[in-house]
Amino acid sequence: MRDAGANVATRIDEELGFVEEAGFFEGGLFGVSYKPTARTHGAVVICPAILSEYDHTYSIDVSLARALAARGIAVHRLHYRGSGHSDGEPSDMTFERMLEDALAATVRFAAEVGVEQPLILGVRFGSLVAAAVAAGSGGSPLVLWDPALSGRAYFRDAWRADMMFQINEGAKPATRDAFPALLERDNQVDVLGYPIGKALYDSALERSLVDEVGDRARRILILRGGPPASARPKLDEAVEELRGRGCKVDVEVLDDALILWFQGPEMRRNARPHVAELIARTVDWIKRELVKDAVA
Amino acid sequence: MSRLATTREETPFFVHAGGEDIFGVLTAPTVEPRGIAALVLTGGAFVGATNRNRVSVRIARDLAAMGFHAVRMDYHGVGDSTGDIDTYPLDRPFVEDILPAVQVMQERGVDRCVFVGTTCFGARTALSTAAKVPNVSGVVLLAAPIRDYPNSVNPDATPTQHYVRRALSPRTLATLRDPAKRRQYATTARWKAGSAAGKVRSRLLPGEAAPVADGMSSSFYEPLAELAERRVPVLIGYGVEDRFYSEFLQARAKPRLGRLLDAPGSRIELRTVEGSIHALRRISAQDAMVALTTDWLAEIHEGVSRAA
Repeated sequence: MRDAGANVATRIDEELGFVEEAGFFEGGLFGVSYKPTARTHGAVVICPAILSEYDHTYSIDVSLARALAARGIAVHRLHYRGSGHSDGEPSDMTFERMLEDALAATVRFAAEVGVEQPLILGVRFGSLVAAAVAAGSGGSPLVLWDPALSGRAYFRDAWRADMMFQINEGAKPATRDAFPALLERDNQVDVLGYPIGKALYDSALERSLVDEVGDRARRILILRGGPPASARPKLDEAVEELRGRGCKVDVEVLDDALILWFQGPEMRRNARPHVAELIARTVDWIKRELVKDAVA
Repeated sequence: MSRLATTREETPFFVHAGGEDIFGVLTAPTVEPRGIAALVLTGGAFVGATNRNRVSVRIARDLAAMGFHAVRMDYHGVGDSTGDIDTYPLDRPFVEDILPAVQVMQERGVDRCVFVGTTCFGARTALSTAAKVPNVSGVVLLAAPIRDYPNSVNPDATPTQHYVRRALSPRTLATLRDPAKRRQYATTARWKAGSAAGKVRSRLLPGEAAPVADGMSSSFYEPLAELAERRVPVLIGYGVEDRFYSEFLQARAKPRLGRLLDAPGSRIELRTVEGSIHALRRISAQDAMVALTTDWLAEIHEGVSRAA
């Protein structure tokens, strides 16, 4: 066991040239930092997904963080309170608390690595949080993986995923409209073994990605599942609106769909090329953004 | 009355195992320590030490409130550990990932252990690790598969001709370039060969150890028999709707497993809960599994009181 300091465990990746620090921070927050041992070109903070998507994207976030750190970009991944190794209960999660956690982690990490405006990366629901963090962090660039366009759309997707599971299990699924009623009755709804609490639902329902990004122009990469020919009219609308606000938005489409609600071994194996593509495209874009800034 | 642990009692760590850095979290007791480490192991769902919906975090913090030093860990290639993972081979559970943590706890003076295998592959890893470690005061095996199925398909129930036909199909031959597929096919072939050998040996030498006997793999039966001989308390827990439960019951009706469970003074106990706990796909199943685990560990360890 190699403890480094108060409550942080450290591993040194000599081959790739970075130090990894996993630890508990103020307020009962768990997080992992990846710090290049040579020159640091910039910093990234990852706002993870939630519910079952959190578990299924965990390894992708870790792989991305290590890939970036190996290229001289410092990265921090956080666990919101009520999720992962952090304190708190899932039923206590709200959008505001998630934002508070992500902001605290961003401020602390930015100071640690000496970067004024870290790039913020959001995964699925975490995109809403990431957008709000970026809005509070000046002109920070944003990377959004298959972003939730709104709380309402995300909860609808979550419930649909659970209905698919129920059908697959041979159960008669609850109707699409049953979700709010169940939430009202039980104060939480079980989606694939993860609770959506009323507090989170109420706090995020009316939030939209475009509103969270705000009015300040910034560079944004949106990476979404494919195939490239597939249409996402709502996403296109959001992109147009962001561009109308002066944001420079790149949209990249993967060769195949990103299905993150479920993941058995076969699905995981089949998804490997797309995950590798997701990481490679993200690394390329971030490198272009941050290394360019460092040179400038 | 004891208090549930929080991150204030938790220490993250890395241990080196098999060329990889294995990540884990130690939760210190919030009451008088019992000198027992509780290793909480996850199943094979590619989720890390937290487990589905943080079930392992809950168990660890509950057990810390009962006086255990609880340890939850990421297997290699999962969560914050390093390495790569393609599959969870039931015939080769990740004992090497766990043993260094046991050693570290022993060096810290916590020299007794309990293992909690939270479903499927976690149960099999708990079982195999416990059989290799001294001073084990309890083992919890939840939704433990009793055979080493590759990919959830029962090769015993599938005729050999089916595999031969599939092996020679152009689609299968095309996928042989993929190392993961090759490993998967090899596991199936090993299973079929082992099963056939077991059947032959069982006929020739009734009662002798065989790779597959009474519906159980030797990798399940042998460590369980070892723990029975050492008189280690073992809880075997299933949801009544778990597929593995019906297979367990079939094996239970046969001599080998029957002898282990029915021996005078046997410390192997079977308990069930409603529904299915195998994949922990519902919060109610998670709650039932946590209660089953903590209740049983409290019962077998004298003087343990539950958290407030």
